[in-house]
Amino acid sequence: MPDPADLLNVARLLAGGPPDATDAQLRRAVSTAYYAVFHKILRMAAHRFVGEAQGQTAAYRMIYRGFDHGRVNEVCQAIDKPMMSKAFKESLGKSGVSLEMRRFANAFCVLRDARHLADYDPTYRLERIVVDGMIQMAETAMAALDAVAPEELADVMALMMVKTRG
Amino acid sequence: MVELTDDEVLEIGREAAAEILGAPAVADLRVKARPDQDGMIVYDYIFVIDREKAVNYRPGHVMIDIGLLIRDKLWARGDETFPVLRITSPEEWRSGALA
Repeated sequence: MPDPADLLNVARLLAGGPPDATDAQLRRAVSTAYYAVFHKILRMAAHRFVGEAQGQTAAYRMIYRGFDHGRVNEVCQAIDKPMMSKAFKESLGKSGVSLEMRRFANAFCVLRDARHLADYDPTYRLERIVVDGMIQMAETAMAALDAVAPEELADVMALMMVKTRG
Repeated sequence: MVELTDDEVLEIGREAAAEILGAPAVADLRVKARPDQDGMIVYDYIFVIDREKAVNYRPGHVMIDIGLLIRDKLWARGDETFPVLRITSPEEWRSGALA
């Protein structure tokens, strides 16, 4: 299964390729950094809701594949604010999330946007220093996710998978 | 939702970067509103940061910390538009690669 840390290393290799990374390498580096973060949340959810030891089961695969990029982005934007909307407050049972959870949420949204531009917008301009910043941001986001309290993380991941009716 | 002027959005970005890195480190910045892949408007910031003048420049944290602060400042003014950002250097900025 995709290892988020390995994906991030691939992003670094792409961005740092000698002599100078090409535009294609920089674009793939941004895309790969985003996918490292995306796979990080999928892996943590599958481990939390099914179990790491069940990694070869259909349930594990279904939970892993149960995430939609757009829904994760929607939840991340909704929780990355000082006070959440009424619907999200009711779903999560609190008015805001921890700083570490917000750090992850903010980075996810920025990286998703950059990934889309890197993959599809021919006018999107990238430099090595910009891409390095995005890779470092992805690394920080993944570390932030590791630092989130397990209960809060489970609640947010559940919300990413399931659109509640309130 | 409140719609801020371009100057207000720019100033919020400048304030946020200055609070995180110190004002001397913020060499320049640019922002434009554009739709994201879902058709939602985002504020697309490019910060030109002089790392040698920055207070406690922590790679990886800088983009997130500035982004969170901009988000909070926008939210406090009633604007929930999401900010996305890129950080470059004065040397790269002068080369015009991001223009």
